[in-house]
Amino acid sequence: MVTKFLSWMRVFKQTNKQIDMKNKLLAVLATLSMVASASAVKVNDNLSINGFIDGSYASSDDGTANGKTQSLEIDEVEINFVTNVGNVSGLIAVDANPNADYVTPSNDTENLGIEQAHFTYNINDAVSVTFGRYGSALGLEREDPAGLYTYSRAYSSTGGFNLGDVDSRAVDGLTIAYTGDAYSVAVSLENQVGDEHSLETNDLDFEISFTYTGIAGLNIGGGFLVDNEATAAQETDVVNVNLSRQFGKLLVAGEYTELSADAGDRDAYLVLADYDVNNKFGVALRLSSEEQAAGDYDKVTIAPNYAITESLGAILEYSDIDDAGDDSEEYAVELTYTF
Amino acid sequence: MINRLLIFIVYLSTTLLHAESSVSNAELSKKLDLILGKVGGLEERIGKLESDSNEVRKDVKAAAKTANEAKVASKSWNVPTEEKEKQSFFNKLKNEIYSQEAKDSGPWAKKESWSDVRNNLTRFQIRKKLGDPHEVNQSLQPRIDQVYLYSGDLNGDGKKEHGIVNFFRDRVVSYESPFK
Repeated sequence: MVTKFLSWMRVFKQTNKQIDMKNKLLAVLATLSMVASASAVKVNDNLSINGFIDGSYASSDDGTANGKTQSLEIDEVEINFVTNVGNVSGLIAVDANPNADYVTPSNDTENLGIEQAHFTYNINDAVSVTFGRYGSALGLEREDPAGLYTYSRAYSSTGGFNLGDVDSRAVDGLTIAYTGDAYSVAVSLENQVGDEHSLETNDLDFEISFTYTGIAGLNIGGGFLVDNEATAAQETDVVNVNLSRQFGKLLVAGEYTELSADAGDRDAYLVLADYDVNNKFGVALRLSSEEQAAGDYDKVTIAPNYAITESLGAILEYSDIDDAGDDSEEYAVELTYTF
Repeated sequence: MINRLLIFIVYLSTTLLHAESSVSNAELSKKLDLILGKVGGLEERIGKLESDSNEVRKDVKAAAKTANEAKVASKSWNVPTEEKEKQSFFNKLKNEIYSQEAKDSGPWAKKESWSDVRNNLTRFQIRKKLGDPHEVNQSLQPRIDQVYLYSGDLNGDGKKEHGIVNFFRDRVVSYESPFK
């Protein structure tokens, strides 16, 4: 009897979860249908809505008996609300990871949420102030799938070197930026979002970044960020320098990052070449290495990309990974639809 | 009529003067001056009336001319009765209305605004030069992170012209003017 009751309770509990999941899916679908109509109908002169749906098939194999994994899934859905009204511009980026943990919602940190929400007030042509939630200005690889030349990122998800990935590192902060003809400098005072929900117990974090674009086709960027924590042992400082140079259809880029923590200094670098064969077809080759406590994480990636239409793109990727001596191979096909 | 009246007044006055034989020359001269003054005033008024009448005539002529022109112009706006011509007429009218709307939609619709656009400008500087974009798009191209799109039928041919500005990290990396 008790077993039957528990079994019934389990079913009841699952049903609740299913309802919860269904509601979330309905919310995402409702949002998507809203976007479909919004992209067709002009909301007003100051508001634009855009976004993307990104999904992939990925397979990895580390050569061991049970070391093969596969996945076919939607990786990320994002809707951006972009406003421009005179001297003020704003962005609200709502994103969802449909692979979030619905089975154990308490563990879930990747549901539908505000990825970025910020506005910028341009005092004049040179000086602007931005307030809100945004990502780091550092790092060669940027925030969204459409901003990557490859399917995967260069560095491991645990090493702390994916600086431009706003999904893993968003901050609430205030940025004051100065923009000259050929360069720009920005200072950001910030409070990390995520594990640190409240203001830092000590000082705020800060990031200083610069870019130089004075030579046509050359882009130099970099800066450093100081992640203040409650104890010195938890604090992290990061220095990053990156550059890219375009030679006609070929783009060559590289970056070097050094991360200083109480446990010791670690560094990482990547070199990337992207060649556009024509308007639709291109190939990217990336070499990257990241120092970890257990050993280096080295990765070689080759990723042809093809624009099926102006708004639908595909990336085919092969990566060879050496994670502290453990070799593995990854294959992936990624489809990104932008609207 | 007025001239006749004047002659009659002069004749009457001289007759009356003859009738008064006992009036002195000085008085006569005085009265004559008075009559001449009155005649002068009448001539002045007659001249003014004639001048006013000319102006009125000119005004009437101008009004008639304008009315005629309006009549001719309105003939060309008559909605054709034939179905094909009617459709063409309304299409043309629609294109003209949309074109005018596009031309009035901001500085992007003027050729000279695009001559100021160059690589390396910021988004804010572009908005100042071209106005707020009609759409802000994402790009599949990783070398471009935001696209400003301006569109509208600028030449009234029923097809939209597009102005595109591509940004990477808040700087213009490439652009396409709607005036090719």
